[in-house]
Amino acid sequence: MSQITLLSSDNVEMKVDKEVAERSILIKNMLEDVGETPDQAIPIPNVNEGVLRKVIEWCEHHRNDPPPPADEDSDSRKKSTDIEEWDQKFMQVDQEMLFEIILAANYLDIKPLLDVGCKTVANMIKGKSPEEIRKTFNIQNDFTPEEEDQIRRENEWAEDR
Amino acid sequence: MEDIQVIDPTGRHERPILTVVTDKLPGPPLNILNLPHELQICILSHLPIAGQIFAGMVCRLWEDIIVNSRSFTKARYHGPDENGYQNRHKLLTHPGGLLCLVQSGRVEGYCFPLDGDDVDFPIDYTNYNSKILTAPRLDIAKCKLLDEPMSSPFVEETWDIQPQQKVSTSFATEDHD
Repeated sequence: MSQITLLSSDNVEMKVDKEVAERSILIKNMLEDVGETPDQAIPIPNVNEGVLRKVIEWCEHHRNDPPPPADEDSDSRKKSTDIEEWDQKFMQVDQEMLFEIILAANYLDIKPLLDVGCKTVANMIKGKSPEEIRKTFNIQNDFTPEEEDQIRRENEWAEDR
Repeated sequence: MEDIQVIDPTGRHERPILTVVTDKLPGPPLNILNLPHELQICILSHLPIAGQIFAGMVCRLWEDIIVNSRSFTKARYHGPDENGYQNRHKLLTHPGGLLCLVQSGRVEGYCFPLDGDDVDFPIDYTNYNSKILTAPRLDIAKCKLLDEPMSSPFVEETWDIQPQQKVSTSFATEDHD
């Protein structure tokens, strides 16, 4: 099994099986362009060591997954809670790491990982009131006072219960 | 990563005239609103109608994405082939239902459950009844999604949906106590 070396943004080298690294379409295309297994480390300038290790861990576990269907169908939209158990555990990280993983998956072009990340965040939004969502994600309320009236009414409703 | 130092080319200064610190500074924690918009869109697109309504009240950016983008609007309608509910807005078919708050004969608000997934057809009323009826509800009277037409304005467009098995018309009345 041929291996390649990845170099994180903070200059840490990591050896991975080529097959594992090729879960990233970015790396896969890069290797195809080069033609042969490179001796030098492949720099991944946007991803630091901690995040890259997490991403590799995910790729290791999913190394034998069939490739995702080429065209995305909109049916995946309504199945937002469907995350397999291993992925759910994998995504039990703090918010910052979760967003870093999403950014890395987007940059490295690992569609299934990006999907799992986005679904995880969607699940954190689901079932919450606007105020609870703001608290969860530390979002500033930028509506005007008239629009704010809406928020107050919401709270009244909530208190009635 | 090493810091980058710029040495004075004239040699007048012994010390570097500029030092660029390349280490990532411990800035404020990454906020969801700082993610690229296409990623926020990707996240929000996984929400069922209930989640979209309340996420759309969180901040202007999310309201804009959810209310105004065409792909979101389109996904808020059922396809044309589900018998009985064809092209219907998902607000109307949510298992929790949209309840009107009436005071002195006037509709004062519309309350919608915070949670619950969009339904598939035919609707199975047996599973969600007790759960969804006791779920918390909030008034969504000012939610802009209420202004959308009840039937899909997109019917003229191609839906890429294969003709499905005909669904029994009796599902809507059964077990609906």
